[in-house]
Amino acid sequence: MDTVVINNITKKFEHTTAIDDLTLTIPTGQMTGIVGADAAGKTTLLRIIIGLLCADSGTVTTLGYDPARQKKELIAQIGYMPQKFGLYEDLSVRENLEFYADLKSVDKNFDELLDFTGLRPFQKRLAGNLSGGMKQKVGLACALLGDPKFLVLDEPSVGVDPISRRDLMRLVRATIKEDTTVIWSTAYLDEANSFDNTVVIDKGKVIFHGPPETLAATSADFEREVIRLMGGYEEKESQIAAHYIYRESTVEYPVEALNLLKMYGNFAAVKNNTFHIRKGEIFGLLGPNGAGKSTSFKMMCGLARPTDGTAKIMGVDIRKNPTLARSYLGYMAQKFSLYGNMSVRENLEFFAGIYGIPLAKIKERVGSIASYFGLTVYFDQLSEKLPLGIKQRLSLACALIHNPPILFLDEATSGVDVVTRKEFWCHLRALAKKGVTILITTHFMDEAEYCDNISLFYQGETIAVGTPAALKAQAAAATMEEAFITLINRKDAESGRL
Amino acid sequence: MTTRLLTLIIKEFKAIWKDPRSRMIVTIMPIIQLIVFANAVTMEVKNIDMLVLDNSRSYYSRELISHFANSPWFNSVAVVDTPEQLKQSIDIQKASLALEIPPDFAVSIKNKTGASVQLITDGRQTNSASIIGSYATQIIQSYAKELSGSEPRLEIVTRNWFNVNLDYKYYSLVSLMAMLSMVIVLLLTSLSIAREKEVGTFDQLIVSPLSSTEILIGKAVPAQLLAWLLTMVMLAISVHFFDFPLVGSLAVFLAADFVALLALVGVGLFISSLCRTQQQAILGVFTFQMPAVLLSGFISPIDNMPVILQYLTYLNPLRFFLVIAKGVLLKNMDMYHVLINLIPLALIAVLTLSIAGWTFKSKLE
Repeated sequence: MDTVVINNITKKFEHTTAIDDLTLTIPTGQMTGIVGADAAGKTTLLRIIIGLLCADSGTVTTLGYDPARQKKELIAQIGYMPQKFGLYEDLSVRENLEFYADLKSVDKNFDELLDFTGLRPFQKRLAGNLSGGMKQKVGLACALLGDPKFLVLDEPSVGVDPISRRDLMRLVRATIKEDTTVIWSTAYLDEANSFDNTVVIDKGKVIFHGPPETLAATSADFEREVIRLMGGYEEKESQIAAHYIYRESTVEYPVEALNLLKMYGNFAAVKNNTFHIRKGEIFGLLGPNGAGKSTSFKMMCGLARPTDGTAKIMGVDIRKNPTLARSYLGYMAQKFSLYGNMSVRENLEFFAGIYGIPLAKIKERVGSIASYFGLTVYFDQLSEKLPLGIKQRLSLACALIHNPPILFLDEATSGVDVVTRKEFWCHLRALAKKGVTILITTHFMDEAEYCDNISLFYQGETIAVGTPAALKAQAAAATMEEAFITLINRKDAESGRL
Repeated sequence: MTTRLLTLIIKEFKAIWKDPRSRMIVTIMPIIQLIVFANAVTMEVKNIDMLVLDNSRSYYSRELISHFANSPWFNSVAVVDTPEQLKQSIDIQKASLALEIPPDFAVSIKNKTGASVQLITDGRQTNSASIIGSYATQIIQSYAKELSGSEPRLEIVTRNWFNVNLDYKYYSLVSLMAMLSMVIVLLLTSLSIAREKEVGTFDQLIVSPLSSTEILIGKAVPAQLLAWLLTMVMLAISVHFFDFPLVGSLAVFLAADFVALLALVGVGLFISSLCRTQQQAILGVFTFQMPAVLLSGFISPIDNMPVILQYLTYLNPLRFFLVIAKGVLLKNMDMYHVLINLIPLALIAVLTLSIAGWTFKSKLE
């Protein structure tokens, strides 16, 4: 028997079609991965399966029930972990577990669960003080309470580093019984190969369904196949880079970190961090959650004040002359952070203005950058209504509106589909070739391969620096992900913490 | 510098206007509140319901009752037969005043031995109980005077200055204008930064070449100007629809309002620099607003407060502004007295703006 049987469901929200005539069966006792970019329809699909949303048309049967009408019976047998799991940050790990055990009215014997998840030493800690990976573990532990027959996990690995991701996967595999069905949704294509069954969703449609090996043997091949299924991607010359005007300068290292130190009380979040980035180099900051790479990144662009040390942007000390230093920066943040209720044009005009483009020239500059970025057709639309890929392009346009010699990207590609990501990196590489210096943080290991140099962060320190090839050689690993895990485990072994 | 700042200010105006919530805050909400509260906020006691337990049932007792019934303050005068009925009506707040006339009332008047009656007021509402009590005492005294027939040797004629008919609306309109513009300016400043922090655009601003001073000015100017403009609109409504007497200088009033709003902008920016979410910002606004209103002299006179609280009111911009607003608008206060209040107001503005600037910068990094 199949756990879920879906026939021709469609779900529309106002103007968008989230699920488009989708048919799917999910076999019992297997782990099914639902892979797709943000806004591909993953969350909507999961919510329809467990009865939190009703489809506009089509039929759904989950565990033999109709989720739209028999929600009560169904919910009792499901362990659901939503995307932002509702942990109470002011309660301890144990109190959170007790609360969810009460809600599900199940036994409060957590011994096995705590051992299993390795949460036992942390059970008294407030959930708000846990790292991202640990929070996901607690969320998972709550979903596992009461031995559900069907486990629904909505992006448990989002924003989680490769090590914690592997941990989570291992945990789920180890906890479930033979007949437990698991759905795990993810935006990371490189996870696709770890499922028994992989469903790839794009624009509300299933574009692949089956054991991942039948599509491709390795995750790199899998990605290529998915791109093909999505309609293919052809690398074109980047119009964005072609119109970028590089201003020659004599600065050899446009970005420099000099002995950056950040203390939170007695805890050193970042210590003794020094690096120099050459002109036209793409430099990646990698590391597990809580390793201090975000803090370093924030200190580099002036979002956090270093306890000691400083950063230089085009030779200008960011602490002494922040306004001048920042005028050389283009910045693009993790989530879409432009003004949603303003149009594309208004956003571009605003960023042109605050980056000091003279009033008389703003209109002309905004018009031309919109045409290079292919944004002219969206010119008067509200930016919050744009598709995710276009939003991302708009963010990049805003970051580049003043032709900055330096670009800072903080997990700028998280959540976008693989084709958009490819396109984005094509622009970045072309910009770097023209002399733009790029500093980037990412959780995507395949993106790390595109970097010229990588600094691997762990426990507030740089534990390895070098080209991707050098790091892989150092770890004797075939892929960046393996290198990442090996180097960090090695560091753990050295410091005798294992 | 100028382009950057101008761009930011224009964006702020757009942001306020495009967000339905802030658009409400600056348009419909204050005007509706002004109109509703101008009619509702009153400390006058009118339309009193009273009860009489007449044990005397005489000519004299009926005369006394008719004095009550004919006075303008009393809405209804109902007669009950038993003390229980009387007690119950007061308990359920059906009546707020009861008069009990003893059986020997008429006899005592005739014998000139001095009659007494019992007045019962509802002490749960302290203020109105004492006002009602004094109305009733006046009525009884005037009846007593009639009975004794003697002309008083000293007659008091009262004239109220500045508000001849003691129309309570004039008082509440001034206070409302001040308080509504306070709430608007606080909400606009504190919410706008909190909103940007929630969405993530705040980081974009900080990473841009805008300095923190520029960001603060950019956030302050639209809120300040909008609240100022609204005060003018509210004043115009008051004069036009409520016959509010504008006797003093409009320019002096608007200048003082500008300074008061600056002080409040400082408070709003300070709150926003401490808050990460809009919810926290709203709580922060309420935390400031309640004591600011209570210690402004609007609800109870400052001179009646405990000494410590009186000192505390010196930090309250609303306190000084209310004095200027009432003084200038209602009685054309002279320049000396305006300045005595305007200077502390300006000092508070300097203080709150500097604190805001300082916390904003230190929280930032």
